[in-house]
Amino acid sequence: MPPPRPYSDPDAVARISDLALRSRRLVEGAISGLHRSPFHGFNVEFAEYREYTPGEDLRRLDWRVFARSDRHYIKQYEEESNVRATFLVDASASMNYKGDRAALSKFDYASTLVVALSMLLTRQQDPVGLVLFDEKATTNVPPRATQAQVQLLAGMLQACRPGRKTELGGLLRSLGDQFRRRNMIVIVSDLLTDLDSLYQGLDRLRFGGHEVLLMQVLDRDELDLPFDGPTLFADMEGDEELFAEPRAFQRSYRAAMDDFLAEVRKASGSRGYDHVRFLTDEPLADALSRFLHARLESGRVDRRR
Amino acid sequence: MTFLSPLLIWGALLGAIPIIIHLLNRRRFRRVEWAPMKYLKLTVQRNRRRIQLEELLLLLLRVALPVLLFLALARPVLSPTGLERWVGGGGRSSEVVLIDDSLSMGYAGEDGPAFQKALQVAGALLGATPARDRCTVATASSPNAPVIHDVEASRREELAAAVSGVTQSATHAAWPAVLAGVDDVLKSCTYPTRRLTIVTDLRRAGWDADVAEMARRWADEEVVVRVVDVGSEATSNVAIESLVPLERTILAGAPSAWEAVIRNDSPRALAGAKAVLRVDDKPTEVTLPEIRPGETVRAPLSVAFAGAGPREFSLQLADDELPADSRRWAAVAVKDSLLIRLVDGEPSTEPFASEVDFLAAPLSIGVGAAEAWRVEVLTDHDDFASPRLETPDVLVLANVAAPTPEQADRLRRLVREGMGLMIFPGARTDLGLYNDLFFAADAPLLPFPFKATSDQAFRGLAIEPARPSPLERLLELKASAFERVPVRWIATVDEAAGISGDKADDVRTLARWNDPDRSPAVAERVVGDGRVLLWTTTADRAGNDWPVEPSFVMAIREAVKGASRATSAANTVTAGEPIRRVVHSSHEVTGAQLTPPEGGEPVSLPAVPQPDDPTDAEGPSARIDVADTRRAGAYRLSWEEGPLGTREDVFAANPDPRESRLERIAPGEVRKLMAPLDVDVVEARGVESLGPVGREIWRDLAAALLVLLVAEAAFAAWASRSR
Repeated sequence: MPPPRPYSDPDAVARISDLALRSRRLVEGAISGLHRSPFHGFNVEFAEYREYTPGEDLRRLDWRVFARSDRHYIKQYEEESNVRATFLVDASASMNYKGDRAALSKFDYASTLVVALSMLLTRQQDPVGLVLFDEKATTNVPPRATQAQVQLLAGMLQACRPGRKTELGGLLRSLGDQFRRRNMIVIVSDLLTDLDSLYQGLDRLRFGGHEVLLMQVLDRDELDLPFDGPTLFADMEGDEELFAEPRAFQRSYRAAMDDFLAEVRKASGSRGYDHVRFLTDEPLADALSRFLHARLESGRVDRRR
Repeated sequence: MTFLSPLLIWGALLGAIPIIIHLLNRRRFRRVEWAPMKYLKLTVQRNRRRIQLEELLLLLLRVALPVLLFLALARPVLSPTGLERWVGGGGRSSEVVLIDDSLSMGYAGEDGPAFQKALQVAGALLGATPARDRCTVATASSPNAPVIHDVEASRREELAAAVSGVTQSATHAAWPAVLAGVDDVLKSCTYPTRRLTIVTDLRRAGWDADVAEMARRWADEEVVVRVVDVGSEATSNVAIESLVPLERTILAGAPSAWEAVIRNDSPRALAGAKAVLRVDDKPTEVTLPEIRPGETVRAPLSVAFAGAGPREFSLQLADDELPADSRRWAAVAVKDSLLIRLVDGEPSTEPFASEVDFLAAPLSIGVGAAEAWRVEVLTDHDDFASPRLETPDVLVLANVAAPTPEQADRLRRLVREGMGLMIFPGARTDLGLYNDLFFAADAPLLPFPFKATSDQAFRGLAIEPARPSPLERLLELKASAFERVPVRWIATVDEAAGISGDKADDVRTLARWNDPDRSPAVAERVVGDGRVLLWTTTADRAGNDWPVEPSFVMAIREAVKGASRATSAANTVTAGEPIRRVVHSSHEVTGAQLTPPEGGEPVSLPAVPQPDDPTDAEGPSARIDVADTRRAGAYRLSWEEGPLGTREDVFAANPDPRESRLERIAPGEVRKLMAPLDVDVVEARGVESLGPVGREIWRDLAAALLVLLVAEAAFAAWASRSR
């Protein structure tokens, strides 16, 4: 029986209004079994044994200790990393969307993810920075590997009120020029922006040797358009309004969104970047855990190369 | 297109409700702040045309539902003309109004005679006809001679005058013939769109399956036909169905027996009812026998005409709901006397010694105040059949030995033309020659061929109970009056030969001897318009003692009256039948004039000379035709015949008895008879209730409504599915 995971319930997580606390609970409760950084460094050293928790990867079990003591221990390593991770968090108006099925808005969901990951990284002494952007970068916190940095990031994210348009492509191009050292750039956005411009920005980062991770946060409403009856759609990043009966074109819309996601995934893959999609009605812990495992797997593959 | 319930058409405005709901729904919407607007817009753009089309179709369907519902409730009537006018704004049509003026239309129900109502309906219809249409008014009694033909409807006064000038006739409306007559009128109408309105009382008499022939053609030609029922449901009626003479000859001054057939179709019995008999315009009251409801009685009448010549009389009952059939007329050519030519085969100067003395004696006494008989005696040496002689009413051959073949041929022709012939055989009679001359296979005159003679004595004879018979009055005498008659000589006949062959029905035995063989004593053969009476014994006392018996006097008088040339019934016709008077005269016939019944204005008529016919013994002739006899009553015809001065004849046109049967025909049956023509039968309770001509289409609209309901439900479900 897997242990109860109270923080996997999105409603329960959402009830914690403090972002830092919410993220810590998430990190401690939901992903405590993980001991490896999702961001792969260059040196790995043994750190300690830890008792096996059901649900963890059996491959990490130390079979020799088990043979000797008949007890289950997990071998924990510490990665020595010098990854500088900079989170680019979309603070445009579109990130404010929160559907009926979601407990958090896209921005809140993204913020929780970012702070949780920052906590993980700073534990490993990896510096983390933050760029909040809409049409341009509104906040830029350079990477540091301190606990105070995490508190700073959490405070800034909590204080942020998204409200303008997204212009991610231009931002990426300018950041590519600014970052002198090699960076792990984590873009947390709904990617509802001009895709051509986005791809140009990604190409610029790639040219600069930066590693990019695209974490696309969407509400499930935005995928399946669940509305019925006459509906007036108002553009969250503009003045445009559209009156429609959504049932008449739901399937077409879903197909359009599928095409959009597939295109983004394809564009990311072709540039060697990871693209991970998060839906705000999914349990945060599950989503984060799945993401971290995926990262670990991809890291193993990278090392084999 | 017109509507029978026009107020309900306003309900079609409810068709605006779906539009209002649609507009309200656009105000009651959900507002969603939306991020991926780009993809939403892209999708909407791709589907906009389809969505708009679907929404429009759905809206139209929903608007159509209440509109169709109230259209159907408003009962629209569609006619080809109406549709043209509705769609194209222009068709013209020919409106033909056929007024049933037959006798039954005079039936006065609770709200007056049907004929008056028919005139009102016709007037209203013509008044409501659009001014650019053309109107025709015809009557059932003369359908192919319209009262007014193809006149523009804008000439309202002229049309109204034509309708009010229509008078009722006493004719029968035989609808197959009437419709065929109207068809000629319809063909001659100006505009190809033709509408016929028949205003009638819907009595069953006259309607039969033969109307289907015309109906089929009209259905093919898209003639719109409507029947307006102006008749009453009541059928109570008392009518004189016929007025017939019981005697062949009507003599001036002599009472003649007639019979009136009266039918009581009313729910009340006629007891002690009086009728008025008008002879030569002198009325006398006649008490009728009791007539129970549903009963038909034959009421005897005795009519005596003061003078000879063309005469008429009428019998009139008290007025009932249908007074037109309560009076009948008869027109007769009354004779002052009958010419009886006796041919004596054994003449004698001694009193009662010649063959015909016993025949002349009974005819020497007149009948009533009439002289009755003019007796002319010839011997068999005279040419009794000479064309130079006046043609007698009765010719008697008494013991005439051997007529010549020429005489036989002449007699045959005269008998066929109506003359009476009585034959008494005797000792001189060549029975074999008689058989040869008068029992020829192709045109026999004798009822039976002679077989032999018998001189075996016996007594008496018996009158056969045949009716009507020239001797039937003898049945009123006691049988003993005939049983004592001594008979010494008779000529026997071959009865079997007489009653075989195709003319057997023309032969009957009127009296039989009391001999062992019960031989015929008097036999009759009907030949053409005439009759031949064969007596199988002598006319004198040579063969029997009957001539000295009082019953013989009566027998001869009755036999002569019964065999004499019949008074012609040709002058009495049924209303609507044409009258033709052929005047035989060597002088020019001019100034023909007809005085119609009931003091109508005299009308001049042409006298058309007939082509000479060498075989016509009566010489040159002219013909006067009276075509219009639709009104019942006496028609008096006069003409000038050169130095002979003014001549006159009288004719009677009687109400058609078929119209006295007032049983109604149901509208559904009329529609069935007129199939496949879609005839609209409407009841005219009031002129205002009359709807327009055409086909009601509410059933079609109801079917369309049902289809639309299903279509709307299906389309709404299809359109609202997730796509």
